[in-house]
Amino acid sequence: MKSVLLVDDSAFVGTVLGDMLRELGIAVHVARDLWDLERWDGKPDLVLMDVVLQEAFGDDIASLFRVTRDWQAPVMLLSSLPDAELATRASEAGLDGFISKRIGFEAITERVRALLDAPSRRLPELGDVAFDVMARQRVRRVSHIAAHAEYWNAAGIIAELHALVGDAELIGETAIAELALAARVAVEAESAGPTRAVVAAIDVLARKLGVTTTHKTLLIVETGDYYRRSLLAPLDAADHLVLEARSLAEARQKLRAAHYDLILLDAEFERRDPSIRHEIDAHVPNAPIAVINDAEKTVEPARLVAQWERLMR
Amino acid sequence: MVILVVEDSSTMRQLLCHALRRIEGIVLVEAADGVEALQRLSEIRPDVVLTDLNMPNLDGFGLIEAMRAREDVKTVPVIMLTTEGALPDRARGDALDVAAYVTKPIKPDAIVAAVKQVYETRR
Repeated sequence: MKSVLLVDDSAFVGTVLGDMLRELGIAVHVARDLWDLERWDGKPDLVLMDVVLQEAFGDDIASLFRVTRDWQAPVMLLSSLPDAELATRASEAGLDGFISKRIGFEAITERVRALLDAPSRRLPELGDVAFDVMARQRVRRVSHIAAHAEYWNAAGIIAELHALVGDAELIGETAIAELALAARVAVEAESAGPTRAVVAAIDVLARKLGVTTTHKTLLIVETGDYYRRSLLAPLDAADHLVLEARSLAEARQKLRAAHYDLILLDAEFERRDPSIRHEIDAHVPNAPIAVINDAEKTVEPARLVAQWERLMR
Repeated sequence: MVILVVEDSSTMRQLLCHALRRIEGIVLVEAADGVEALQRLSEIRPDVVLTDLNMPNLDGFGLIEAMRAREDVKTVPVIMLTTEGALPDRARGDALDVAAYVTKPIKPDAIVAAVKQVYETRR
């Protein structure tokens, strides 16, 4: 079986493209950050590398790993940056080329299939992909950062909007891609703080996505992708912003990055990393904590959300 | 020029060191967290410390606090790496005399420029 290492900080891209490639019989390992990447020591047949990652640029990382990890497989940049920039980055880093996210999931999947010479199969439908939930959460995060002067960071907002442009282009949501791009341009023009133009551009995007208000901010500390993702839709539907942490390092970073009304802590995570309690107490000493144990994971998420909302009052 | 690079991710440390090797005559010393950095600071006297903020055992702010309390390294300038969307507490940084902030994702040119500028300014 051919295998692909997909490095992308967008959970949307990781989930959808990962599932589409698996449908073709290709094994896919998704890494969302350096932490994921450093823990994986497999030997893929192809690396798909996003460019704008949280900690460094994908072309710099790939170039380094060619030497330090002895990456032999072809590396293709996968990004919504302009083609000319991708061509330059791939060439300067000595990589094998690029695939633009602008061509959409189906065309990307076909390019990968052809590169790996994998057998052709019918592609899965995109019907149940929760693009809207992920997009709304991005806009909630952007609004949260912009609304808190103490956290205002143009780079953080630009990264979220850049990723949203890419996600929207991938599934042909051009109206959303254009609004996200317009908001990104407005933010890029500012560095001192969110001006009226920035707030207005973000508001237009929020309205288009149906985000009218955000009630509470939660942090989910949990390593299981599937369960964490299952909580996103009901929490988003109740107009809450959800930030996620999958490791102690990520939790430490996220705990500094916002005020939280509730911390959802996976009991298994705490068993493995008891110091998470200390981190939470140090950064958000007054936030309530709801520990999620195995029994609760079998409860309908919407019912849990109702319980958690009582804790956040 | 001697630079102490403090970062818990080995990949990030390698990327930072790779970028900084462009500076002629540079000597790089590495540490994986604040505790290890303080040990290195007992052995060497760097011109600049480049440190991540979020690290296990002792984070970036904790490291600078410990440095400012030590006579031998209290004046060494510090550049802090920060993550997008999570600005560090600027008031705390100012109180600890952080010389510059560099935001991730790191651009090799920006790292080199920040180190050169802080080195020249503090000489």
